[in-house]
Parts: sequence; C-alpha cells; structure tokens
Amino acid sequence: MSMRAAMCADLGRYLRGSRSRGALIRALMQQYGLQATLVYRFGRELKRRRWQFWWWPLTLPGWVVYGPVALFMRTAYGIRLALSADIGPGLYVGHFGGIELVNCTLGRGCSIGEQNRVGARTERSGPRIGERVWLGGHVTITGNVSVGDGATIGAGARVTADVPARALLMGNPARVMSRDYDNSAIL
Amino acid sequence: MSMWSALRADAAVFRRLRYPRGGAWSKLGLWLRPGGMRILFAQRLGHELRSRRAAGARWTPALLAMRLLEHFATYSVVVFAKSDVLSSIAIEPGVYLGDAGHLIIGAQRIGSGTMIHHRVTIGMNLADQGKPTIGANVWIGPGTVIYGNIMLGDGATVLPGTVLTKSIPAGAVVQGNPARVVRMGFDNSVLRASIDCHIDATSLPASNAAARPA
Repeated sequence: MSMRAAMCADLGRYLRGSRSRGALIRALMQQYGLQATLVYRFGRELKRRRWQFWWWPLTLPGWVVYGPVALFMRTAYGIRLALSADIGPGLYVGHFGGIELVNCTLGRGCSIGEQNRVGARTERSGPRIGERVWLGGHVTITGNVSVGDGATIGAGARVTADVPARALLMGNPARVMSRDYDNSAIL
Repeated sequence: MSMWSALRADAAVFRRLRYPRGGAWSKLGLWLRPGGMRILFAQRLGHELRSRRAAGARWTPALLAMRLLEHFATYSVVVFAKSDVLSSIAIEPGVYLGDAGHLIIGAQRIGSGTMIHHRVTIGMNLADQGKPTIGANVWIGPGTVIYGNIMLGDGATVLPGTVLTKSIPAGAVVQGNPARVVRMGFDNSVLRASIDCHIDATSLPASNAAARPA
C-alpha cells in the first residue's frame, strides 16, 4: 500500500465520515496522534526506498527532515512509533503520552491509547496484532505473542499470552472476560 | 469561588508538599518549577472561560485574550507535562496534580484535598460509559486507571497501579488490576501529607483505628 493511501486511511479514522474542510484542519492541528502517525508513514516510505539509490536525491533530504520531526513527536507528545514497527493503515491514536510501538506488527484499523507499550527494543520477534484491535490506555504487550483480529484489550491490561480473535481481555495478567465481544462501537 | 482564589488554595497545597520546611524561595519555586501547578492553571482558566461563555458572556477583547492565553497554556501543558485535563471538570480548590505529568483526566468533579499522582487516566471517552466522580481528600497513586460511571467516596485511597471500574465507599483502600478493596475505614491523611508515593498494601498500617486515642 502506498504512503498516500495509508495516510488517507489514518485521516479517515479521525474524521469519522466528516467531509468538511474545518474538520480536516482541526484534526491535523489538534490530534497529536494523527501528526505522529503521518510522520511515521513518511519515515516508513523513506525506509522502504533505503537501497533504491535513484531515490537518494529525495530520500536523503527526507531523512534530514524526518529525524528532528520524529524527535519532536517523541519528546513533545510522548508518541514513539518506531520504524521497526509495521503498522497497517488506519491507525487511531486516542491520546498522547508514554506511547511506544517498537518491533511489532499491527493490522489495519487498530486503535491505541495513552501509555501503551507494544514490543520491546531488546526482543527479536515482537507481538503480532491483528486487524481492528482496540487497545485501551496503559496496555502493555511484550514478547512473542499474537493477538487475534477484532480483539479488545481493556485499559491497564498486561498481555503475556496469545489472544484469540474477538476476545475481551482485562487485568494483570490479562484474562479473557468474553470470547465474543463486538468492539465496533468503541473502535 | 473565582479562579484566582482556587489557584491560591492549590498553591498552598503545593507549597506545603514541595517545601515542607518553607523557606524564602518556596513561593517563587512554585511557579518556576514545572508541574501540576501549571496544569491546574490551564484547567482553571479554561473552566472559567467555559462558565462565562455558558452564562452568556460575549466575546470581548478581554475574553479573547483569555482564550488565547488558555490556548498557549493548554499546549504547554501537552508538551511539558503530556497531560490533558478537560476544562469541563469542576475541580474544587486545594488539589494536587502530579508534577511528573502524564495525566489524562476527564472526571465529572474532583473534590478538594485530593491528590492525583503522575501517569493517571481518569474517565474514558466511550459512548456508553459515564465519567467518574471523585470525592474530597482522595489519594490516587501513580499508574492508576479509573473509568466508568462510578463514585469515589471521600477519603478513599487508590494504591499505585490500580485499575478501578467500580464505585468505592468513603475510607476504602483499593489495589490491584482488577481492583480489590484491601482496607476499610482507612485514614489517608498521612499519605496526603507527603509527596512520596512508594506505598503498597503490605506497607500500609494494618489499621489506624488502634492508633487513634479512645
């Protein structure tokens, strides 16, 4: 998927069907998670064209721009979407502060919240998270675990084992509260 | 009560917690050191503006200047404290908010004398769930999540790392994820007298009823 299509999918999550220009400007100005996601998409595009030397006249200045802007997102808003994380299009970052996604795979249409930590820098193979997964605030997922499509991880949960699709998890350690929970209302 | 008298009450709380021995610099350091005081300033300014607009005030130059100041104060709170404390909350005077920030707070009401430490989330922005109401003299430890249409009684204690989704009565102590009540009728005035938060259920006094004179 191209960078542009992924960015449009991200933007669509924040606009929620609204088509007005004011809503677009408000989302770009006020949603810090959206800003960080767009910067991440740009960085991923640079990383994808890393060895395509015919792009270097454009990508080398691109890295110079990306570095400080990503540093600002990390220090000012506390949102670190590392380039080692493979995030599908349509990511929604609900709040800001203490968010770190490293060495992990997220499917399309996921929602994450504040104080989320997915994956660790020291692990070779990180968590694999499916599509349309909702993560509440203060969720930590580390280790070689997989989270099924449409799962819902309640606020403050600490996931250490594989999660079946469409499950609702809560607690520390996370326990399955419901086997079939529809998260389309909160996503 | 106006915004400034509420902020003066907050400043007294912060001064007592940060500088227990007083000192000449304690008043200045209150405003120079970043932290909860700035979050409270931005929130109270936004709340004042909201209530004036709700009362039917027109956009005068003074009100517009206030709006501009609120905008920059709120943004500096985002950047320097990573915090988002909604201006719709009715926060009573004399509240401590954690100096380390990372607060996402959307409660209905926060009572006076309440202490909220850093990395706390209160209230979730979901369609079917209401917002928590927090009583007076509540102590909320770091890393806590509180959500749902619940009520925290006066003098309740939420120990660090708790995820609380149910109402608790006055004087209760809760800990854990999911939260369990570990004490009842606990007097948290010792906790609220200090800025420290290294506490858990095992280091709490078993009961302060025994220590209280008959």
